[in-house]
Amino acid sequence: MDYAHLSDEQLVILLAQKDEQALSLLYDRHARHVVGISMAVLRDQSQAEDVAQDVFVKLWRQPASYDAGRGRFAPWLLSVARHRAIDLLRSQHGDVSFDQPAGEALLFTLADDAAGPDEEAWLAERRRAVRAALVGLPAAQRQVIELAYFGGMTQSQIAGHLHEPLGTIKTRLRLAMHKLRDALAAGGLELELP
Amino acid sequence: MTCDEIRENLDIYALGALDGGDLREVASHLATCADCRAEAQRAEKAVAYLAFAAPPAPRVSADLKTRVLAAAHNERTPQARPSSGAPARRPRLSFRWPSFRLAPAAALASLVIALGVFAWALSLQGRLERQASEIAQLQVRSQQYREMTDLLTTPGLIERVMAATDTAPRATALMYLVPSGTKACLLARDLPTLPSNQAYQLWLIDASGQRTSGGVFRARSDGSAWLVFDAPRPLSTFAAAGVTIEPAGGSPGPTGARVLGGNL
Repeated sequence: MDYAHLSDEQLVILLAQKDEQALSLLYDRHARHVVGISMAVLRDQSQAEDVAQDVFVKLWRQPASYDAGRGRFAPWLLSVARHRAIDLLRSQHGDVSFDQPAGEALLFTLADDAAGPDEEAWLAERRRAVRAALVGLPAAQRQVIELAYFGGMTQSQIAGHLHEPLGTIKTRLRLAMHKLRDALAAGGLELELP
Repeated sequence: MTCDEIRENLDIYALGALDGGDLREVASHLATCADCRAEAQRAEKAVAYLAFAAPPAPRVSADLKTRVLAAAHNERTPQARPSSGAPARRPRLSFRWPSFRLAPAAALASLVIALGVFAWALSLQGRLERQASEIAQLQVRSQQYREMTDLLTTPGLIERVMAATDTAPRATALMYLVPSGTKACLLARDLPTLPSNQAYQLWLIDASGQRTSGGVFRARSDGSAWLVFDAPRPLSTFAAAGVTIEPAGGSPGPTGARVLGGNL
């Protein structure tokens, strides 16, 4: 049976039947994205791949941990990977910090994006949309989003890291997310991830 | 906090960046306020888009998939039990038969393997444990074999001959690849058997002479071997390939004698 026409969500159902072909295909579709988001957090290919291995094996063991009612599979999988990567980052550094000035790092990756030839169109469309939205943010707002989302930092940790008052950081985070939502909506994207 | 004040914090909450008293207040408010919960979900959906900001990795290690599939195979979760965190048990006589939703050839292969294992299970339990691990490796191999047969039916496939060297004058190999793609396979014959502390390693060589590993493999007792692998970039960017003898487990770069070589 050719699984290529099956959706991710259908493949996860097959995973519950311990179908290895389904696991193999989900891996082929998403491994590079899982490693990619882990790289954004950990900045280390080998550790990012360890996270990817954990994530796919956990998916195999507990396919029921993905609930299709709460949104599409890809964002959920990336969220699991990001949390795992942040856990790993926190276990290594008592106080998370970046080598490069944060915000610069995300800008760098925004510049050299290249969609893979087999990337699904809807994924590529969302990546273009969110990256365009992020490019439109002032650097200071992009920076706090990166520290929170990819660095796993709390508002207080960000304030301490940047030597800014907590209130300033909260306002910056809030403004950044408002701008992001407006830009996504203006780009025609439903915020109900289909 | 009022609902308005809670909502001021929901974006930060959705980012996972809320802490301290703010986090406690928002969490306890959300437990009782359906409107704010709905608003929190909208905030979380916007945050979920940030996952797409990270670009996919340009490449992943060729053996990551093998490791994932092997780890999946080593799972011995009992079939009828609802998912629990129970660790895998020591296998007993009642082990799980392979699923017949596999493609017929693989199901037959699994059945044959399973019958063999069942016979073993009548003897020492330790032997069964070792056999289960071999099944896992065989099943990974069968997956790779399927990848290879898929490759061999791809349009645009070309064949490249690899010639022997003095180290193993009778060895020969063919490589099959689609130049615009990244998957390739090697089929080799008459390779000398290596001691257990050594293995063969395939190298892709680009125009500047840089070597990239295509994977480590062993020859069967009849001297034959096959390997299927994913290159980190299209095969048209490589000029040649070679096979050397390396320590078991491979090396970061070629260190041992070359047994096969050819242009791509």
